[in-house]
Amino acid sequence: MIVLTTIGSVFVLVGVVICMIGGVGLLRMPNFFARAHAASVPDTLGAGLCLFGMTLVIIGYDHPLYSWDLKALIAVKLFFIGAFLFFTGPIAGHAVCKAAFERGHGSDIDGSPKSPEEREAEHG
Amino acid sequence: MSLTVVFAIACICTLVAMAMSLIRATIGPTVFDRILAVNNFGTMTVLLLGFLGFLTERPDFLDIALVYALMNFIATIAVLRYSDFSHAPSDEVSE
Repeated sequence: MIVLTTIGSVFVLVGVVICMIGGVGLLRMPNFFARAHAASVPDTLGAGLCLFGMTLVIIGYDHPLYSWDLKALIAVKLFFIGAFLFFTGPIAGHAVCKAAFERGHGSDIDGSPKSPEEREAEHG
Repeated sequence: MSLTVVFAIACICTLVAMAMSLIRATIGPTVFDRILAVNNFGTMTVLLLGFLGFLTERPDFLDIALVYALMNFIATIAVLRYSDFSHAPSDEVSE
């Protein structure tokens, strides 16, 4: 059981490090689409690793108050949160990028917004 | 390393990531950056609620995390739908 808890702790720590890397990318990237790319990393990989690690921790948790029923309930809740984040994160990221693209943030490098006329002139 | 230390470190790292996405939500520069940052902030909040539940040994926090995950998605899609179907000029929406 201590093995499961240790492996779960490692998963949780790797997951939060990935979340922090995503935050740094969101803050430091030069361009809107680069920031969107960085922001979608913690939605799937970071949250997935964290929730998987927490599932392992709770399965290996040794405490008289935590029966197997309670452990199974917590694991199922964690699974639902993970499944939900896994599907909605990319959908929300795609929607943000699509809206930004249609609003004319097409291929600017410095992140400044473009007017529709400029975009029209570029793309014909 | 005990579980308390692990989840305390996880909480601190998540709070740092939340602070960074809040800075991005404040400085913009476009409205889509703000939406992206708020969406990321919501994901971090879900994770933070899970960690807090494990840290304080109250697994009921996971219910709140589940509800927060649902609300966060709905909020993002709602703001984007408004941005799609409102016929404001691009500059007004972008600033």
